[in-house]
Amino acid sequence: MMQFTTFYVGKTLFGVNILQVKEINNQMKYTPVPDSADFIKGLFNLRGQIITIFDLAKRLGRHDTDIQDKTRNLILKTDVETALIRSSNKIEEIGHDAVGFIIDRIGDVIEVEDTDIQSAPANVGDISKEFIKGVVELKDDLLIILNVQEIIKF
Amino acid sequence: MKTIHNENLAHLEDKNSENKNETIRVSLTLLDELMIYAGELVLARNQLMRLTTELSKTIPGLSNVLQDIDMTTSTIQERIMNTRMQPISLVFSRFPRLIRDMTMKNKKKIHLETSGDSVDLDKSVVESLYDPLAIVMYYLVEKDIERTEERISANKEETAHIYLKAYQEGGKVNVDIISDGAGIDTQQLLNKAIEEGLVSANDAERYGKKDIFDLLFSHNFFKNHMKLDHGEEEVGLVDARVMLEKIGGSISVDAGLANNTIINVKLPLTLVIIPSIIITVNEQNFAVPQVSLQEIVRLKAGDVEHKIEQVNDAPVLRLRNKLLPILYLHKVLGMKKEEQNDETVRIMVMKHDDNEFGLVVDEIFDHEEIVVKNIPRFFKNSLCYTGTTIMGDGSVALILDIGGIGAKGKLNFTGLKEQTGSGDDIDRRMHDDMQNLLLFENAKDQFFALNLDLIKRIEKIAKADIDLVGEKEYIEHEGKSLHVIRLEQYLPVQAPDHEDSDLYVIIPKAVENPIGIVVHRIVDSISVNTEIDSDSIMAKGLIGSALIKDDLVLFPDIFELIEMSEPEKVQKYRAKDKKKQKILLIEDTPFFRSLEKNYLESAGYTVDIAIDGMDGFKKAGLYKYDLFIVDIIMPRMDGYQFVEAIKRNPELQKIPTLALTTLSSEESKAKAFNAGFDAYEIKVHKEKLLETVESLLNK
Repeated sequence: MMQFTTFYVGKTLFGVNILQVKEINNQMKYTPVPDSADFIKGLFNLRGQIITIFDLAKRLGRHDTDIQDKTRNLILKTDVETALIRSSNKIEEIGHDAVGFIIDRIGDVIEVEDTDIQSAPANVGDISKEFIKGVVELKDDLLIILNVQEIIKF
Repeated sequence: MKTIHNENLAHLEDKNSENKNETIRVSLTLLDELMIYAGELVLARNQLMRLTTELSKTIPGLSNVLQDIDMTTSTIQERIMNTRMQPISLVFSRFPRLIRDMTMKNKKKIHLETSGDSVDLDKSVVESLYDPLAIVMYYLVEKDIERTEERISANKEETAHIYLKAYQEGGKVNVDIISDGAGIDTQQLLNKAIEEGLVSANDAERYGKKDIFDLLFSHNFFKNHMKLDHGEEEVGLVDARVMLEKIGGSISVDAGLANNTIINVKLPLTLVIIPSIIITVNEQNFAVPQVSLQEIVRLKAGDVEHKIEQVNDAPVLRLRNKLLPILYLHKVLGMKKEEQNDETVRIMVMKHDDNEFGLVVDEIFDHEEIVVKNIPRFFKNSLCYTGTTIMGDGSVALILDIGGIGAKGKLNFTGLKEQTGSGDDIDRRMHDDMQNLLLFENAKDQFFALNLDLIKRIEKIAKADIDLVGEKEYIEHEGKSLHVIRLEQYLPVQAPDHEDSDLYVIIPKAVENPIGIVVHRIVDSISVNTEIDSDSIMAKGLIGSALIKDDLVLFPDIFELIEMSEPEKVQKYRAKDKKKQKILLIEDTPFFRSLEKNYLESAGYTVDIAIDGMDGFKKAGLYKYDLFIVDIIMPRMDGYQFVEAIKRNPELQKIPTLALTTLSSEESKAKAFNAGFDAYEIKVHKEKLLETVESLLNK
């Protein structure tokens, strides 16, 4: 049994292991970083911690995220923060730099049996295969479990 | 509250004097944590200061409390940093063994000496220092120091010496590694670089000594297999440079002469909190480490004399007698420029290693102590940043990497250096009578000006920082108390009718007993070509006056002010009536002409003036002068030509000549002596000038 925090980027539903999520907020004042990758939205200060925010849509090859009422930042835990729970809960290592994704809308928390997670044989829609850790077929939707490690590697 | 505080301290001191060496063990994690909290405290303090600027005017007593918090925070932070400081001897003490191991193999005889062992550095710097220094040491032992037989045949002492010398200078710790080996053969090194295709034969012609030395650190000509702290590796001097740059340091060759190879390493004291200047481009804040900032130049729209020009398609600024390459920060960072109404161009003159360039930014704010946080790994590809920091308002700002920005802007420093370095030609061409003045105001609408060359620093202070001791006022400056004076105390000028809580203190350069001048408002720094009128308004302590942009501006004479304010320290060079010696002062810049004439006359000499070398040469024979004081860079006939002409003339050649110049390099000094000058002094250093004049005249 695993729990996923789900969210939408455009109309696509994505999920990240809930234990990996530090918090979700709506602080939209970023410090842009000139001379950096175009899918990096910028930096902000979360209680003294510097968070690098990725524009997930852009990273997946779509347009820049348009900031709306429901736009949120999904902040992930760093390796230090997940050190004690990582191995027992299949949490990815993402390094010591704090990262977050800008997303269009937050979804529900979804419980999934390990056996329901299928590996993605190929690209799913416009999402390239390397960014997908697995897919879960829900009643009326498809949940794409993100490969966070791959998203922030470049 | 103050008194209790002081009593506590006094109590502590009593206790300490009883048990001098009392120490306890503290875990490093605890210290590191404390340091992080101290960092947060500094941030919170900065935020508090920013938020309360307005309030402190309306709530009585608030500003005092804030100042206490401000000072205490800085002290706490500094003390906590001190707990992490470690002596450099921890690294130095490992080298005797390294040398012993190496000399066992190569049979050289080497004696190692160290000094400055007690110089302290942050733990993180100390820990990363062994590897790069070991590589340099390896290079010297293998390549610089000759084999014993070679030393004997070269009539050198059999045992070679390596000298490790640590000392603090400015905000940096320097380590000089000096050896008395064969030296660095620059020609051979350059040839090697050409052979390996690093430098084209064409470019090589323009290479100066410094550029050739730099080649040593840009390409691994020699590699050694070495056992280092971070493992066994094939390493060379390039690796040493990279390691040092990682910890904010730098390396260069200071001298490559036989018997005296000096490799200089510069290290930051600490990496955690740095003084910086906050600037903006397109309304985004960036922090610039203050160590790299030399000065700030502001170009007004419509100023035709000072503007950015194009030389070989590269923007440059003529700054005094140099061509300064210009970089636009927004271009380097690839930002789109927003339209700007304000056409003033603000240029920060930056220096990294020995390269200088001007960085154009939109706005320049205050000095701020910032807490350095790491730059996330996602930005390591950009050369432009060294870290991040959190600003007073909680937002994140990037800290610029000045070396990286220079590299990214693809500055061809070598090329430009050649253009300026080709010497007096260009100096002469660019030299005009412009003077850079600092304009300031004391009482409202009463303007004063000082030549920027005379000013060491301008400090912003709070009114409450001034302490009254007896009848004199003092402020704390660089850990010492500095006597500050007000212009109205010594000059016939009005006192300001009210006093703001923020004041400025101007600290002059090159004086033996420094004082500060309290002024009310800094107006601007300007470049003008103006003659100082020393007759219309005459007073002790004033050089004269001038009309600048329709305002009457007074020029205080710093040195006279010092003499007036500290009569007990008055120099020995006061007017002595027995002297009736006559000096010909040859100087083309009106400002310096007035100033120097003033100094010399105040010491009792009779002074005639000439406005350039040609004029001087014509006047030289008209009267039996006792001394010629000559500026170097002048139109028509420069100082070198003048002195050569004098020395050829049988009637004049015995008259002593003194070069008085702003050129302070060893090269220009040597050149002056070669040309025939008897002495060499830097402008604006009054005491030394008068001392030298006296000794020349008494010969």
